[in-house]
Amino acid sequence: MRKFKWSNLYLILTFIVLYLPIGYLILYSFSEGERMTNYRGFTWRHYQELFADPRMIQIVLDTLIVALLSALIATIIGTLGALAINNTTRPSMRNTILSLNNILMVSPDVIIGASFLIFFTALRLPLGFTSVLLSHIAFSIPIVVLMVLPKLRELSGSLIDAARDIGASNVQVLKDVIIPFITPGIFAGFFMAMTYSLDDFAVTFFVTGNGFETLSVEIYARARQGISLEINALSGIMFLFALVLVVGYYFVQQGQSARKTKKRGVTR
Amino acid sequence: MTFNSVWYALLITAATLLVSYPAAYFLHYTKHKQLWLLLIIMPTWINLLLKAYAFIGILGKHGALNNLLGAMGMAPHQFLFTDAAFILVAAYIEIPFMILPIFNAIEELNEGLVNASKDLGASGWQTFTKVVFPLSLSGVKSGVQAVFIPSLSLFMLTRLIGGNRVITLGTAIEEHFLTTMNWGMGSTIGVVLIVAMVIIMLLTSERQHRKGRVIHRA
Amino acid sequence: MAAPIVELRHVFKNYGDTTVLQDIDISLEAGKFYTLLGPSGSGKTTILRAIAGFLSVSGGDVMIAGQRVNDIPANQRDVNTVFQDYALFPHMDVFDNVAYGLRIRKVDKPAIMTRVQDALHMVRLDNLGDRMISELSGGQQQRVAIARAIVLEPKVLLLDEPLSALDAKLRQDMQYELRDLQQRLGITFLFVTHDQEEALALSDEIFVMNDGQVQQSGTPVDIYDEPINHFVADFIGQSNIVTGRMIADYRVQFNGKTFDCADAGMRPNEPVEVVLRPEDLDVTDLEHGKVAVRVDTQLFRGDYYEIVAYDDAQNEWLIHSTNPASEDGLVGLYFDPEDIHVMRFGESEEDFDARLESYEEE
Repeated sequence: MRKFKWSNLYLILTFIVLYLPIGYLILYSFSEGERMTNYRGFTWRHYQELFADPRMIQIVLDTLIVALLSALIATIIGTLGALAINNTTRPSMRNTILSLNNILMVSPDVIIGASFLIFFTALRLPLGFTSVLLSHIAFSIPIVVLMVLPKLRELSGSLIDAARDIGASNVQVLKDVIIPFITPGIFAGFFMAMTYSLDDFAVTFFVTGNGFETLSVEIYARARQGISLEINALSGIMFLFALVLVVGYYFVQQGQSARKTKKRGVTR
Repeated sequence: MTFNSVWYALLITAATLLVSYPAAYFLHYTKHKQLWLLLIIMPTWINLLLKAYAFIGILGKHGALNNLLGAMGMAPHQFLFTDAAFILVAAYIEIPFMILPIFNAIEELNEGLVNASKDLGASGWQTFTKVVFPLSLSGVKSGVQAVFIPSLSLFMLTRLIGGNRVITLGTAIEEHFLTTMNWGMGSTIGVVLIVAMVIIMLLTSERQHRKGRVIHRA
Repeated sequence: MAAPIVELRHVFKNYGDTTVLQDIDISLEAGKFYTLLGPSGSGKTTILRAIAGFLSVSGGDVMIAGQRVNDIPANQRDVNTVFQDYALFPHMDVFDNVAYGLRIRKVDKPAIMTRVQDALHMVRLDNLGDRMISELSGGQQQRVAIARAIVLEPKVLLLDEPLSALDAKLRQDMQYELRDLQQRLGITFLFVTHDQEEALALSDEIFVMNDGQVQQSGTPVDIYDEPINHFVADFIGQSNIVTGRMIADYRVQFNGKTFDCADAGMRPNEPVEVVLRPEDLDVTDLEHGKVAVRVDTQLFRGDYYEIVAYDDAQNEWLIHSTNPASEDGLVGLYFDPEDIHVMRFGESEEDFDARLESYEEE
């Protein structure tokens, strides 16, 4: 029993350390002062300033648009890519593609960012919204492929055989069997791609020009100039956003498994 | 600079591993595992720069840490812009990415093996060193891979937390591409970084790919 | 004889240098229950997949209802398959699984309704239409898989080891049901299994497969009583197989003695193998026995005793006896001339059939 308690203590400490900086940030977003030292009493002022800042709102909107669009396009391309990889019969070919995919996944983003900078400059493509969007799509595709492929592998060959045996054409097999089966993977891929895009700083930092900014780049620019409690207010909102997503996700999952066990209980 | 960068990345990885392994191990034995796991993952959804920014406040000359030390009667000290601060913040950011693969590896481990080991007379510690740890090494390797490579290239942290004292490969690349516009030099350092990455991947590579491995960009 | 519903003519299949089917000639009549029986890797599932259209053969003709179908894809062939792992669509409920093929064929809604209900009734799954697949037991999933195939009214139903995932009791129940279903539907079943008891119990005709070849085909009784070679004798049921010599017609020599037998049509002094089924051997005293053996072990199997004994030449004899023998005792084994079955080495099925006919007519 004693050992059990120690382990819990360790875990709780780890969590405190993990959440302390975030809590600290949010706490000071309500501080009457201008610096992240010496808490000075409660205020909503920084939030009000944030919402009254049209430049900030534009940046948030741009960030969301890039995230949604890049995730959507990457999901389509990535899913088609995963289908194609799954259809390659030669194992050597398939492994090569998968290795290339994995290399993209682990490459440091400075490398990806610098490569895209060189690439866009060589193409004489102006840096801005398009370059950011294109690079986000590019680094999201391998993520989608990685999320969709395992679902495709789970899909047993006999399931497809069965559909064909019953008379389904290739299109019908894809539409009625494959796509419904891999939908969870597609959603997971879309979700991950969006998270990566929202979170990305390094790649965007390299390929964004002067006119276009995402949240990460803006935060970096402001943080380099020093403390601004408007950023704290922003982090408060972003934390809330993440929290809602996590809680929602958790309850959806719990609900699903609860329903499953309940139904099973009825049949047995 | 290359040596320094690798050295820092090693320190960061070691610090992360030291904190993460016990956490992942204990996590395996908690109830409501999924909830705890989500709590581990959630900080990774907070923008990296916001977390770094928080530490500017905490470690600053008048920040929370100095206030705490002051209350204990110690003189204020500038923690920000030191090597230690850089390593601390980097490790903080990477912890979830180390915990997850180790946790997955321990989860995949057949509980029957632990029982078998105890049945054969091994103590809890012996079971851990002879059975659990060797079998979770695959997760450790994935974690090291997921932490070490980004640690080589964290340029925004070196700028925000390390001041300009710490220069990693990533910082150098960023500087050559975006400040001095010496793309040739930047690309050369990029190649060094890629080579380092390949070496790490070879060292930590495994035949079978683990599901649930988390690879991230920092 | 009616025109065959399915016919394979000289069918070959190889992957690179590996031959998985060699010169398969099979012909299935309408309305019968056929079984492809063989160990794993013998090519039985390959034949099934060739008929269903999941793999193209390397040579020969695959005919369905008199039409060559080598180049017709699976979704246009008038045969349906029940898969080993059932292959039910996990994202559809029972009704939608069964209705899927009808919807593809653009059958109108009321007709789908009645046909799916009929099919579910046929496999005794009425009222389970709205269940999800994950909520069904293994036996129920099995039935859905069958319903999904028969709802399309195929001329031939192909069953790929459909019972292998079920436990022993359920398996037996399903054997009766399958046989009953086949008779009610009146269509041809081609059943793949590695379980010889299942094959003997269910089939009108069995094809015994090994190494990509049909070793022997015939009714269960024919195959059990008159196996063509060592493989078939060993694979179907239990056997004592000893080498011997054919002295003359109806006279065979083994274990140093000559016995009367019921086989003929071989060369004098031809080396042969002799099969004696364990249940045909009676334990008696040394005087009345034809072969003297020493009992080694004896296991009670419920309805019989399984006795392992050795003769002087250290040949092992397996005996199924209703009465126990004294352990470590010397006993005699008695058998009738017609219990002896003589097999020639390397005889083809055609020659075997011709030889049997030649002396059975006399």
